[in-house]
Amino acid sequence: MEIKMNHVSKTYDKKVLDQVSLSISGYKTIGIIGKSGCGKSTLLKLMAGIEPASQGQITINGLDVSKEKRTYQDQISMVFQDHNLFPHLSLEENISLILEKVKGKNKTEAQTRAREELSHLHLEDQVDKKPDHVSGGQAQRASIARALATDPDIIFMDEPTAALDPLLSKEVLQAVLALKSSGKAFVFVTHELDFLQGFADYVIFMDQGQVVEQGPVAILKAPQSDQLQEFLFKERSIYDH
Amino acid sequence: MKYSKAIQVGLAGLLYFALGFFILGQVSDNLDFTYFKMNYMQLVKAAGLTLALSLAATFSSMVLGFMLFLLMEARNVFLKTLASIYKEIIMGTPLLVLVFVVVYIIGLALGIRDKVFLGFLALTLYMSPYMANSFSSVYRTLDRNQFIVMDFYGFKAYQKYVYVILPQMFKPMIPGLLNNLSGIIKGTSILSTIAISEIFYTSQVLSNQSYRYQEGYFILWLVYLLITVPLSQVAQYISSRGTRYGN
Repeated sequence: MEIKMNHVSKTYDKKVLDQVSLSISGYKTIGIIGKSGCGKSTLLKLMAGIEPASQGQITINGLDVSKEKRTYQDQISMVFQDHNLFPHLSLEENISLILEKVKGKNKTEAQTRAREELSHLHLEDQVDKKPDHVSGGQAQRASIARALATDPDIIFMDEPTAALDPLLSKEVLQAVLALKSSGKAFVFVTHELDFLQGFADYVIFMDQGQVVEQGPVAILKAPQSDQLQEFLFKERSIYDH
Repeated sequence: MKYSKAIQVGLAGLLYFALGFFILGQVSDNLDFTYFKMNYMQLVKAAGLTLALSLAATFSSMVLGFMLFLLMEARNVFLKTLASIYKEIIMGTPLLVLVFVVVYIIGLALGIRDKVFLGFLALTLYMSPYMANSFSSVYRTLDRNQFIVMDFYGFKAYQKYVYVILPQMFKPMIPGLLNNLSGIIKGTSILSTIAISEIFYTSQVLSNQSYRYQEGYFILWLVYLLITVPLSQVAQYISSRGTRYGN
């Protein structure tokens, strides 16, 4: 995966991202961390083309995220904080609808693929249930199955366990860890340090709308900046208690 | 518990019934429904026309209301403005005035003389903004995150509506639709002013012929209640089911 960001800023009511520049290539799983409100989710949304940058240019795998948005988004997938499944459709239909109606596969092919992906995520018994009738963790795993079903090159994940309790989080994170061998590239936002260390091979640390530190996952063992040191100290002390 | 509730509901109903009879007794010592009984077929026909007109107008105002709703949701300012001007004009016009405008201005201008059709047209135009509002309010309750997902995966506008938005709007729309239908049924009484022989007009004619006005109004009142009360009950039942079981 190759990510290039050139002086990217994003402003809502106030500036959330401030002149972020990145150039990353050769890594498959990139984790973005930082305190709440540091701009990490915004950075991910901009990378996935869900929101436009107020300023600057983003190129991922050679495609301009805003100018070639449709071509680009056809090659990526997204797992949201909440599962964002369509509530009136079963888990299978949630996936097959996209494959059949939007991606143009035939009905049988779409259904088979949907069932396959749901089985990979150990949801073969839940395929006919609607999102409201399964647990939060199962719904989130279904949304991961949906992300995989379109066979994307990159999967973006925006804190996929943010809306779940610790037990369900663990279930979802284990499912994601199992995907590391799938050959897909991942860019994800997380606040789970153990998961980050087990899954990411590159880490971006953000603070106040800027990238403060970045590098291979080993940087977590020897943080250079005060902010990352403080962040890691606080996060680890949460786990210690 | 169950029986005591039923008794209380029955008592409340009975109280209204007694009140109704008391008032009727005050205005007339000698109620006589003979003439209405003799001409009951006319009343049945008129009630049928009222219901048919109402159902047809509900359907057509739903279609027009949906188009209006789409315009209201459009990103294009011109289309949005078209819809809001139409809404302001129609919602600012009393139904009685709209009926006259449709019959004596629009009808004349377009050379349409069929009064039943013009009455139907007036009801349709009148109800369409209310229908659009019903669509809008249900649409606003849909989880916005679904729209992000649809945009992300590249759903076309019609695919969003056909596969995701409308199927979720259908059930929560029903109580609002039934209430609008009830509104239309009541609105049909105004069509009597242009001599459409719906139930209001017909009961007036029968009262004029028999000089039995109190009886006429009483029957008229009952006919409307017979149609609208069950509708409102069904609407309430569906609403309560909606909240109990979700979509």
